Amino acid sequence: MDNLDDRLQKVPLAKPSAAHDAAMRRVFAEAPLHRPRFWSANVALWQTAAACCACLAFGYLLHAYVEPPPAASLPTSTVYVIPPDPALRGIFDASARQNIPAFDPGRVRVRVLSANDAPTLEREI
Amino acid sequence: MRGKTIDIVRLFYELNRQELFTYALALTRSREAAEDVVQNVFRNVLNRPRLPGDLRPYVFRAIRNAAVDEHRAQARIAALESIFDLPGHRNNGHDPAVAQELDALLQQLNEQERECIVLKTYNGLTFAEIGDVCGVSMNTAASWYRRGIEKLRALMKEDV
Repeated sequence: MDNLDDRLQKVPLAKPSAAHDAAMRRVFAEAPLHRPRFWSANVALWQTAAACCACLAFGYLLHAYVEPPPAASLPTSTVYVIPPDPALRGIFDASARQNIPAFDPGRVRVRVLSANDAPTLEREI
Repeated sequence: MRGKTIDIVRLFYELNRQELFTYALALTRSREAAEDVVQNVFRNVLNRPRLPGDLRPYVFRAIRNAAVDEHRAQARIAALESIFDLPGHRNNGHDPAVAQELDALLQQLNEQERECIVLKTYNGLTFAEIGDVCGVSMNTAASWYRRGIEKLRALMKEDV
């Protein structure tokens, strides 16, 4: 192994040409003396910042002046106030089961009055 | 400040001029391509905003990548050139028989084995550094090197 290493080490290596050395001297001579700047665009940084601020202000004003779209009207709910009559309540329950729109369980409430006319119970169909 | 950076890179190049060229030549097998690779790598290093922490492995890796690209791009290499100073070269002046023989033997190794031998023997890189440059583990780099050396020894015995 040592012998082989020696033989490998002793063989003269090909050397770079004089043209390469000259090219490398040029590479170092032409190296940029200043570190590439964070902001390399032609427009000044303050001008860019001012443009951004103007855009933000314009967007804010536009947002403030444009009326928001009308909110979708919520369906009104209906409350039926009925006397404490099981037959009458049965009608409401049956109507709800049959999906009659006027008795849509999402919109309709039934309030059952007590015997002395004071509302005591409120329930959804 | 920037001038100091350029001086550091220049000093690194001057200290490793031969090694870097030999490595690039071993990969590209073309003197012209090897010189182009080294020049381009240093141009890129000097254009970087900051120097890499450890310049040596970075430059070797960059040379490897550039050489691989160059090698892929040019299918025009008719005769593969040697890393050794053979008679056809401009800078001869010694008995070239040994160099020719070793070059012929090196050509019989695969690329990985040849690359490891060049990096270890002529560039003095450790196996850890070779692994870093080639993108493999230290053990893989060491085994490529050992296998290459064993093949070379076997080939030399055959020649004798």
